Amino acid sequence: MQTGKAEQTSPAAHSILAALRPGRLRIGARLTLSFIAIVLLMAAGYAIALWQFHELQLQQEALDRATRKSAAVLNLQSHLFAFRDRLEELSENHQGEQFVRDANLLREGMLSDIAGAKRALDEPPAGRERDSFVIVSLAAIESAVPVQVDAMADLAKAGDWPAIRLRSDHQLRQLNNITATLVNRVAAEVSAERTLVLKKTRQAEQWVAVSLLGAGSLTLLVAAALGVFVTRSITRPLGVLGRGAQALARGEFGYQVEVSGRDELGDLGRVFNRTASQLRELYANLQESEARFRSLIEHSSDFIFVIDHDGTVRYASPSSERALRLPLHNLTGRSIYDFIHQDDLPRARAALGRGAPDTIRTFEFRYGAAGGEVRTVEAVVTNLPQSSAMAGMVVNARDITERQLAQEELRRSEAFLAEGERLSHTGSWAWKPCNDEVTWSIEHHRIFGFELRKPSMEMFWERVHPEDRPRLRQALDKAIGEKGELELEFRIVLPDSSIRFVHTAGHAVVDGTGGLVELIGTTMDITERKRAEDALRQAHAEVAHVARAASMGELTASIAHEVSQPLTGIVVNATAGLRWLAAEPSNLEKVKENLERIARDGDRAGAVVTRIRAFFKKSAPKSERLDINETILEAVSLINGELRSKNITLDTRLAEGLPPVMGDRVQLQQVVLNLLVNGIEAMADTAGARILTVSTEREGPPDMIKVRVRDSGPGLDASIIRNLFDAFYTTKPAGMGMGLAICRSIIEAHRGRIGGFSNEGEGATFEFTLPAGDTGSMKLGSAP
Amino acid sequence: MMPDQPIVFVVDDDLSVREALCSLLESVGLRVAAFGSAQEFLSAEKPDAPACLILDLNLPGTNGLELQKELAAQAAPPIVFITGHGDIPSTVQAMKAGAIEFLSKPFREQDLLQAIEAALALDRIARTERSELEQLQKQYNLLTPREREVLPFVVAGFANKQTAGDLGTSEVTIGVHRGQIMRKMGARSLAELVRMADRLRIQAPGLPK
Repeated sequence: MQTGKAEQTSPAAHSILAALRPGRLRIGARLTLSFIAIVLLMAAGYAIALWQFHELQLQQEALDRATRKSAAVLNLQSHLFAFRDRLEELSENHQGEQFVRDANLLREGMLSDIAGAKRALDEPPAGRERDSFVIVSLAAIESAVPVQVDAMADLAKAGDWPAIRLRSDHQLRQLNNITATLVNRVAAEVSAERTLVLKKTRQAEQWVAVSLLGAGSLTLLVAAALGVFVTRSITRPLGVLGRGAQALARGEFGYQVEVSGRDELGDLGRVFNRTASQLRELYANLQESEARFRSLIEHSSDFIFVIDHDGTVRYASPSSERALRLPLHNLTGRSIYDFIHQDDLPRARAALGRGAPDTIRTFEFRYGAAGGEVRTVEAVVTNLPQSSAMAGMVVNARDITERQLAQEELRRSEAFLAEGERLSHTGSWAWKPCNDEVTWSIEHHRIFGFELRKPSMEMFWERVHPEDRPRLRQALDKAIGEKGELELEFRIVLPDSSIRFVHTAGHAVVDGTGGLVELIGTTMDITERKRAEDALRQAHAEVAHVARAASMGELTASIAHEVSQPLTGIVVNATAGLRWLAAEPSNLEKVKENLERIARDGDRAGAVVTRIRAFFKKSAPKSERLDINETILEAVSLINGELRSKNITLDTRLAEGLPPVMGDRVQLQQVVLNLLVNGIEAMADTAGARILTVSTEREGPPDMIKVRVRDSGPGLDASIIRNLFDAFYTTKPAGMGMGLAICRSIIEAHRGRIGGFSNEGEGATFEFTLPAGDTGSMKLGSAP
Repeated sequence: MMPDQPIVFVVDDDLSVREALCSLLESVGLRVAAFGSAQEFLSAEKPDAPACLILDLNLPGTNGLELQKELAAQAAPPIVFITGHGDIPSTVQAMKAGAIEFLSKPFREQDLLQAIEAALALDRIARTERSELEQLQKQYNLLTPREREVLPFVVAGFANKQTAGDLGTSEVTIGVHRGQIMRKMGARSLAELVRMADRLRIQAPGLPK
């Protein structure tokens, strides 16, 4: 609309309007221009009006002047009348003196009036030529009056009254006439003048009205137009900004207003847009930061509360309610003291009480979690009363139940370890060979008979039995050299000269590069164990002896048979020999045969008896080189009778060329015998062939000799195999359950193994292995 | 050697005992044949003469008692058991089964020799009885099946009439059978026939229905 107007207007107006176009000019300038335009318009109106008023005033003054002129002339006329009348009056009274005085006064008055009239008429009448008559008349009057008066005064003095009267009549009348003409002339002049004035006045009044009205309405019109224009130029961008502001208020930080112009609103728009984008950026940053912090808080294993000084929870991080496992749905608004364990309340109150701002306090408290569980929390309290965001205590809490449990567990396990070391007489040690730094546990000190103090290798060697030192040093050197393991028994001598046996086991610790760091290990006081082992070994031997005796008891019949056979042979041979001797002639050849057999059978019986005595003899086990086949056959010889009486075929399959074994003959025979007797008993109810097979063979590596005893009985029930070798486990109604247990202890003492299983076909097999060769050591006797 | 000279069999797995026994028995003039096992003894050829068996109770393989059981079915010689460790059940079993003696090693030579003597004497009687029984059996074998049917009724003392009723024939026929039986068996009296039947272990017939 403006542009349209501008197009129609002149180039100057066009440029003005263009300047006024919204945005081109600043609002202040725009408003100022508008006001200046209005004021100018109004001033123009008022100027016209003032000019017209001035014109009116001029007319008024002209009117006044005319009036004054008229008045002066009239005044003069009236004074002239009055002068004449007075003079007549005075002349009638004939008072000379009086007359003179008054005549002078009158003359003065008249002259002043004439002067006044002259002054009034001095100015030329408006719009016309001065009437020369008036000037002449006035001059005549002025010159006539004093002459007359003086003349009359002289007459008066002379008392010539009639002259005076005459004079007055004549002279004065003339004056009057002149004056009357003057009055008329002036009146005509004034009247003309007045008419002109009135005309001009009316004209001026019209001008005033027109100018005032025109200026006023034009001003109003322009003001209205400017107002509308300026208002629009402000309100429209303002509306846009307002919508933007509302969008901002709604949180639409991405909102950008359309910016045009270089005015304040344009500036405002740009500022708005800049502000909005800064806000958006700020908000995005804030959101990101908020999200980050929220995420931190929500996913933190810590739980964060903000509480008032009275303990009311004003904020609880989402993680807290979940992680704290509180039986509450909403913590906010509740008092933190509601769920703190009452024993911990004083501590909590002290920590959460008022304190200096920004102080940080730490405390632990327990609370009842869901399900009646008591959990422990470690809380860090920061007092932030000044922080506008917090304005309270920030409690940063962490569930330390598991940690506490773990710590407790650790303490307990340490205590257990110490207690375990104490009870098991096991001390721990570590030794760094590089700097001879030695660490001992408490129990290690105790075992070695030292007070608790910084240990050293010197202290260690001081205690080691002199005879064991070389062996120990060698073992240590080997472990260091090979970065390997260490295990040996040695003796230590305590200050009271008592000897203790210790067993140490350790290994080298290497670093990443394979360098030796230290040796660590444990040392156990095995003195008691050794004593117990000795006692046990003794007991074992005794049990084995008892078992042997018992099995001898079981085999009495069989043994009797073994003895009675050669005895029978002896007796029968002896009687036969006697008969051959008594015959006629004596058959000495036969007698010799008989005697030879007697000797042979005697040896045989003696061997059996010797063997039996060995079985009954309670002797300490001894290790000797044995031919296992011979050892087995000797055992078998004791049960031949048993085999025959039970109708059992013995099949011996002994491998030839076996290496010797180290062991105790009697104990090994006891095992073989036990297995044979078991096999015999197993076949007691066997209807088919009763075959007992004894075999030996070589196995390995490691080089072992295996002895097998196989029967053709019913075999072993799967359920009993596991317990076969346990003590007091028996399937025999009258059994003690010691036989196989003793066998196992004997074989294991020989560093062998024993086992039993059911055969594929029928029967069961028991077998044991023994280390081959005469180097195998035995744990039979007490170690030196 | 005389065919009827008694012979002593020795079965013992123990060489000492075997050799000693042979020497002893030979010293008293007895014929001896020694075996190390039951199988050896069973498979050996044995002379037809009065004999006796000295048997070790505990033998590998077939033991003494089993051998005794096996021999019971045959015309085996009487047995003298010797054992290294005789237990009472074995002794009882051996004696019930007809052993002459049960000697525990070591035994006295007189006990053994007496037992052998008794055994040989018993074997002589047994051999006689065995030949008589063989004769009887031969005679019995001459009987017809019908006569063998009738024989139990006769020896059980049934009257001919009752027998005829039971067997569903006539009294006269039974009488004929009876005469034939007596003749073929060579029995001179009913009492003799009864003894013969007894030895032949002919059972009395079941009770009539």
